Amino acid sequence: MAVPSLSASATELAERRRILTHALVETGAEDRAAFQRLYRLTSAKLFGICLRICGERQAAEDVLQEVYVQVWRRAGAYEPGRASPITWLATIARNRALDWRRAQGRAPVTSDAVLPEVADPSPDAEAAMLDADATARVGHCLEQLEARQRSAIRTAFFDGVTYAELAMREAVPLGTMKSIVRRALIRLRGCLSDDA
Amino acid sequence: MTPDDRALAAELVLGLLDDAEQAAARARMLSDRAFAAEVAHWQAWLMPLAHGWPEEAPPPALEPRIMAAIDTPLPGATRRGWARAAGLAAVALAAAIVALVAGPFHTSAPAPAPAPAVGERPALLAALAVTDGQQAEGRGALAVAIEPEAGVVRVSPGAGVPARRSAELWAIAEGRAPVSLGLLAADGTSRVTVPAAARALLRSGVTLAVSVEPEGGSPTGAPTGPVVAAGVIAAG
Repeated sequence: MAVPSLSASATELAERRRILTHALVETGAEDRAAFQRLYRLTSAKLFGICLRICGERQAAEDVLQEVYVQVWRRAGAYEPGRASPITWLATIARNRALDWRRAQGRAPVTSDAVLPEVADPSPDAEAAMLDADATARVGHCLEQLEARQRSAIRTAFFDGVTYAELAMREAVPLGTMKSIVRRALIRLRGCLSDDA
Repeated sequence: MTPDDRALAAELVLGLLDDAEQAAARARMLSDRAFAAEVAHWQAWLMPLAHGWPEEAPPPALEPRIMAAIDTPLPGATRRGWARAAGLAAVALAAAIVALVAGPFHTSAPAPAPAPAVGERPALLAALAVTDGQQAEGRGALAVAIEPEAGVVRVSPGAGVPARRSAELWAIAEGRAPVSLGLLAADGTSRVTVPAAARALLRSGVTLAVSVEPEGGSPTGAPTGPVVAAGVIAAG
């Protein structure tokens, strides 16, 4: 995976991750000031996720509020050694936004007026470096797939669409879509779990 | 674990499955430790992609709103359309199970597997729906998997109990008083070991209920706070 040129040094990035981890751990001890710091450090990232998946600003704002309330309640369960703080937070945001979409009965997502179609979003270089190894691995493994497989998995991940929606977007039968993606996932797993 | 099982775990993480398939896959996480571990692996592998989402600053007015929201532990009032829509979606049992099991996968790297002994499948299941008038933020339907012989009851997270209160699990046989099975964990999947005397209640047709109690559980031995979720045990 091509690593974009970086403006910040590795030391600075490690320091940022440390600050973020600290804010999250302190939030787990019900420290409101730490929670506010955490919000200021991460809300643009998490709002980006909510907006992309919900496809409308008002809903994304509501979901973001749900996300941070949940972060406040669950931060005590965060284990610093297990996941990077931004990955942990992004997981909550993505799942919450996906739940919202399901509750909506799948309103069509991302009208082009709200968001451009991003087939291959450019990574946030600094954030990626905070989690460099895992990010590089999944990027590398996606690159091993055929373009069509890669595109389907990226769309599923970033837009939070189901098979039915994916098939509609790609204008292929549902069964075809499923077999494309399943083959891709099996191949992807071979790469992701390869420790060599 | 077949390659299809592994793909299914990835499909669950990606959110590709339809509601019924998703409910089934999440229920499987409760009973199949290898599958739950596979889901956790995919979560850890894929979530670093999150760095690829473009950032967008939320409106400044949101910060005070959120700071206020964390000060009100469990506002009963639903906000705008979405909470209402979520409530409607929970009507069907399948949808109720959707809201639950892994909940949001709030840990990424291989999670502590919420699973019983290898190879053992729960014989009994229940889906506890939020009771009328008790809808609240952070509260959703709960999935329950029961191993009657072992006296172990596992409950998915999401009872939505305020800070410094405990969620207590009760079994109610028809026409009988509620019997406490134990307290739910404040976070994550609860694993309740039921006292031997109450294990006879782990059978099909018995109602399970969750009440909000003072920290440490009901001081009286009977539910003292509101019952926030309830459902009937069924054969798995």
